[in-house]
Amino acid sequence: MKKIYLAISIIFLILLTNLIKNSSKNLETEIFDSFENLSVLTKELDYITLENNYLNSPTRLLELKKSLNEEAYFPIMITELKILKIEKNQILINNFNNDE
Amino acid sequence: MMNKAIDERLVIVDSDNEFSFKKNKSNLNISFNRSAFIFFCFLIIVLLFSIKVFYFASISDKNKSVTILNNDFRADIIDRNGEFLAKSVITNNIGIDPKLINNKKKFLLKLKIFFPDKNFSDIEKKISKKKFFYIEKKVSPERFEKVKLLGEKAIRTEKKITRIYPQSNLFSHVLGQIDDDNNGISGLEKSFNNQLKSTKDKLQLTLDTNIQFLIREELIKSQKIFKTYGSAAILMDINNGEIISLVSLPDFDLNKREEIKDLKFINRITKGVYELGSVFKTFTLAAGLQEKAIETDTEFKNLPKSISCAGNPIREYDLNIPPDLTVEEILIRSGNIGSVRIAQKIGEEKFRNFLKQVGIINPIKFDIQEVGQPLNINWGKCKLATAAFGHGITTTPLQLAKGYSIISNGGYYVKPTLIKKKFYQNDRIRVINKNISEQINPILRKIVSTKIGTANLANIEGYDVGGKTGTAQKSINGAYSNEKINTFVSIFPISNPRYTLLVLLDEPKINSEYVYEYKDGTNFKLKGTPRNTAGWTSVEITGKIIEKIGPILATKY
Repeated sequence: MKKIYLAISIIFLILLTNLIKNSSKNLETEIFDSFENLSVLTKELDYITLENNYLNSPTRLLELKKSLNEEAYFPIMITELKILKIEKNQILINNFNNDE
Repeated sequence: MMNKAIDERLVIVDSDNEFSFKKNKSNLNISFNRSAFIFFCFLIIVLLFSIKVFYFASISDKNKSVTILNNDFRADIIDRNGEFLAKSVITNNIGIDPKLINNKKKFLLKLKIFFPDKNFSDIEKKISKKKFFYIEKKVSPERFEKVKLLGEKAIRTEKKITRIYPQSNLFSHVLGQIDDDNNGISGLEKSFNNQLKSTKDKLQLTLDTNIQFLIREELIKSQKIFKTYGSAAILMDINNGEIISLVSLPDFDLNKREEIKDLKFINRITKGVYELGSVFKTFTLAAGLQEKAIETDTEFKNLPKSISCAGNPIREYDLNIPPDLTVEEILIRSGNIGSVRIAQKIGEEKFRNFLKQVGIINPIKFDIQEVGQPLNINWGKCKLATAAFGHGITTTPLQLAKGYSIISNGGYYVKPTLIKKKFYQNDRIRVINKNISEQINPILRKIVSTKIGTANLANIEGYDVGGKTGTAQKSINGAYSNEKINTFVSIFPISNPRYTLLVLLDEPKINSEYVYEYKDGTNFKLKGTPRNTAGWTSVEITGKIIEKIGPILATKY
């Protein structure tokens, strides 16, 4: 009788191990797939960022400025900059330099 | 007798343990079966293992291209805002293997349709040599697919990892170059070669692409105005040493991968070792204050216009300079003789130690390997005198910017760096007295804001600029030439210092057509460069740069 119990428990443990191994294998596969997808998306993001960098590069923006109405774009004077703050439901506008 | 005894014993054992003897016999059989079974299992395992080994061996060839790509791998370099400065991308190359051409006429016809702009007499010559050659590199994916559809065996298409530099010239002196074996040969590509090849993490720099661009644009303009041989600028965070911009002209397009041998192309900020003239006077004054040899209001009376040391004359540049000057006035008016007198009060050893403390005369460790070393000085009475006003003493512009940062930031040590750190430690080390900044910064401001100062053209409204000019004769092959090195080191805003900006012009010339606009509120305009000094060249360019980059620095940082 003891032997039967022992055999059943061994078989049960083997089955349990298999089940756990299978489920962990599935998890591993899922993790691997996620990593793969992530790396593909990261690569895609990098290329889009690179394209964005090119489109926003100062060289290109200056070229665009020349082709558009150049006089409409001029450097900002720091003395004309203001800082807007909302304190106790009140809007405060300070000069940029005074705030510093 | 003996045999008989054994026989008897055998008989006794045999008869008493008959069952046991049979059992033993049976055990022997089972043991053999077990061994055979285990051996069989082992054989299967070995067989399976061998099959797997053969399988991996067979697929290794298929993956060869992937291995090559991994060897070519190099991590990307980005600026402080995440913009790409160097990136490894897969590019498509198209080559021709002349040995595989069946019908040369048809083949050329197809090529002419596809590559109408190519020089076909050259292509025909290359085909006749029967050696493989590339017809076009870095082809767009769409074009690459179309070429594949031509179905010509002789056209070979390949994908390759290529290092691209989206900003071309903008960071050439900082990033450096790589060779055909994917090894860095200069700049950060060299000094961070192992890191770039071993980790996929991007290398983030402290540089800002937009600010770098604006500063470079102004330096290019200055090259046209003052016909300079070269120029350079460095913008540094005064408190943590982060370099926001480092420009040296002339520069080169990194994508062309040319071999640069001309010394004109050196990185003037890190590699250039110069005598920088009067910008050293600030250190003389700071050393005097540190050693308590002087106060800012200490007066020097009856200063001569000229003195001599070992038979060599030391003269004032401005002969209208008054004979009685306070320490503050000596720096504002950039007096040579006054500076000599301050240095003599300090003494050679203390002066030398101070220069070491602020990192001016000792070699500097930096993130790139192209770094110049200040020349050794044979100290003596005359050397002390000339070093006091910046002659006979050399350093790199990088070290000069570092020295000014320490003097103006409250005396804290800074290490110039190009690599962005995630965290900064709060335990800053003070290397000189705190009150030195409090005493020197207002004087630097007066150099820019008062009429007797030498840097009025950099007095840009709203930025509270302070700084010191330096005009020095350029030393070529150990002898002084008539050419100049004009430098201006500025600190802004001087009331709460945040940035150090150094602008250096190498061999500027006067321009009789250039129009200066005074920054004193009078709107006065002056045509033509009166003198070839830093006050009329480097200071003017610094003013233009601050006007452009100031709004970005003020609002973004």
